[in-house]
Amino acid sequence: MPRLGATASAAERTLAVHPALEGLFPQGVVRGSTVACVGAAASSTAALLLAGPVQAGSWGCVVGLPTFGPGAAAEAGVALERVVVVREPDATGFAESTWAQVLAAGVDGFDIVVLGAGRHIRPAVARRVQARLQARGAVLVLVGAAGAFTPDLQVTGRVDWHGLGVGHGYLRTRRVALSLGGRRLPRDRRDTLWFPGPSGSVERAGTHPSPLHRQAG
Amino acid sequence: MSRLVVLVCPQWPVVAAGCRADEAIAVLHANRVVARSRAAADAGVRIGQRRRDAQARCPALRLVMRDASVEARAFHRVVDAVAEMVPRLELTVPGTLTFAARGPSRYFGGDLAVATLLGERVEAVLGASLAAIGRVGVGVADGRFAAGVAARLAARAGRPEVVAPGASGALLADLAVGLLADAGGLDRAVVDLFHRLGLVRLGDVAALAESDLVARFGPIGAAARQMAAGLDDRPLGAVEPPPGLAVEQAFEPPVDHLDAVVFTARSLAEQLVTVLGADGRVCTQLAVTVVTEQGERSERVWTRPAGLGVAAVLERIRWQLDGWARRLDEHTVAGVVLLRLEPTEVRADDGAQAGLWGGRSQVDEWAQRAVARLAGLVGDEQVVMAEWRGGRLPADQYRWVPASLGVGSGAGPSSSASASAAPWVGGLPAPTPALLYPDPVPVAVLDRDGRAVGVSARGVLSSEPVQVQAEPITAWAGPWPLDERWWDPRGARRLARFQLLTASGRAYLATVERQHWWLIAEYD
Repeated sequence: MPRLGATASAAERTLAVHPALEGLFPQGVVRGSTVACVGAAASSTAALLLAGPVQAGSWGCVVGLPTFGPGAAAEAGVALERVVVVREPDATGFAESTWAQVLAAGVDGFDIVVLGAGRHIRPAVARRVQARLQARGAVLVLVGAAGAFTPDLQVTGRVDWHGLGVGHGYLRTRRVALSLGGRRLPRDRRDTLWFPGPSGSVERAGTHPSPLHRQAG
Repeated sequence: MSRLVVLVCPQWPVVAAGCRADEAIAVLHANRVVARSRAAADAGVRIGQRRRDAQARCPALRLVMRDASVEARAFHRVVDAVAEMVPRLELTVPGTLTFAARGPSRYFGGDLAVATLLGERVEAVLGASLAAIGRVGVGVADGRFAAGVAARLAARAGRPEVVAPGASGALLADLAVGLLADAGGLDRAVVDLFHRLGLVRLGDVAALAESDLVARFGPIGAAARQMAAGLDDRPLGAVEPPPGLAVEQAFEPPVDHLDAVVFTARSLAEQLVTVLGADGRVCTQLAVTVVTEQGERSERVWTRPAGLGVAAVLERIRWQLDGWARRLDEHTVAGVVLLRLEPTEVRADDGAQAGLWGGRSQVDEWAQRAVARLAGLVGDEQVVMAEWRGGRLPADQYRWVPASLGVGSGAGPSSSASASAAPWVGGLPAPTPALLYPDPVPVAVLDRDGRAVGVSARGVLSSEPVQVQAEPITAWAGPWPLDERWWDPRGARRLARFQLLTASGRAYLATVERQHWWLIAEYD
């Protein structure tokens, strides 16, 4: 079993993050960890977490997330040619034993696995998957409630849309306030992103003054 | 499936080295014998033998170092002779020539007639130097590998080998699996492994399921399976490129120094490789056209399954020009006025050439295995990747293609930035909703008086929406009408789109179709 030893450098022990997330993850996401995205903009935040490693050349896998929107992921910077989506068969979904195998294969083959909430995964399977994450050095991103998993980190979002009026305008920019908490963090980290900002890209709000056209909030 | 004629001059390096009929001669590369004359073979010199062993077997052996450009230049005599018969030739390595059977067969009256005529012509050109190597072989078959093998059999038998259409698989089935490396150019290590796994004949490989071979060996397994079954048309994953990739350079005044042409060719080749490389592709077949001021043209198609980099392109242009210039000198001295490079076959670059960096990495390898594993667990069509195709509704913008087609070969979904950056008329502006409902959710959207809000056929709202799913609407916009495929009675859709922002901060994309409201996506 390839276990990353203590001599592995910091770059090897973490996965790259999108520049917009550097406020929350200054050293990148530690390999082997489980990150839960909850609250508003959970799907977008998960896509942003996926964007960093995939841009850096890793492969990502999206499982149990029938609502995954590739268009929004691409706008967040995800290179879709390195993202594999595993779809459940309609209506029935996977059996419990299949879930264990699918997650094991995903964690073995991909650096980052995005898993949707509301799947019937037994606690025993979840524990095994998380142990495998540690051994393999992958990162699991949960969208929505963590369920049977024990997340190391939890990102909570609050959103504030701009650009849409009453009967006019359109959704143009969004301020997303993220707070990151977890067992190993002494206190929560907070950051605010423009997701997307006035230029259409995702960036930290702190590094950029508020856009000129904040009309019609 | 294309039917191909392949001409093989066995032990071509020996002919190129200029060998007398009964001389024992061996051509060496990296201290190993790569070709030997018949007399040397009789004395026990084998291909792949070390120099010292070969000399021990045959003390009178003349040793020649391999020189690819000499071989290419010498082969031009053959190419020119065949070019008089057949217009579009394809060259892989000196000593082997390929062309499509269809046109020439019709003209000369059948595959056998072409093959016989071709053999006679080439043997007439080579004349005495042929005595050292035996006969040239001409094979006609379906598929590139099968035709090559047929040509080798023909060289041994001394007569053309024509395989009936559809019978390539049967011909190959009983042959040794080692041919995949000898004639097909597959990695020797993999072919040896086939042998150790008990796949002794090509038929054994062809009988396996392609998915099993891919899961165990990756793309090379798929290639081996196709070749062994006689189904390989072109290198795995190669396609005809879109038009407009050709690069050309006109010379004014005409250039009569070949070095100057090759110098210009370098910039053209770099341009071509860069353009293809930007899309992650590599050229496997290239047509090179040279025109002189007197209107003479030389057109050759060069094939290299491993992909043509700048150096490989230049080398081939030089071979072509060298051979051609020699012939021209006899008739005329003319300047070159046009040089044109046109890729005729490209495939996704899997980095076969890039040894130092770039190319396929370990993570690609892992991902490929994982995809094969997942496809085995849940079914091929459930493991997918997104491919941009454009559309006015978020769910239409991407289509899902099985990942097993794409991963590893890199030929999969190309969400090229240029494609998705182009505006799609009638689509909604960015951002795109991150949460697409697999099935639209029917909802009630009410106005201030609690009545359902309607949209008229002209896109006029009956009243202002204030409530969706019992939640107050704080901001909204629309309707943005959409009238798709109105010419098609079954595919026609008429709907109006809205953006709704609720008091809890959730933003929806809603549609009204036939006076019913649906939520189709959420800006999450």
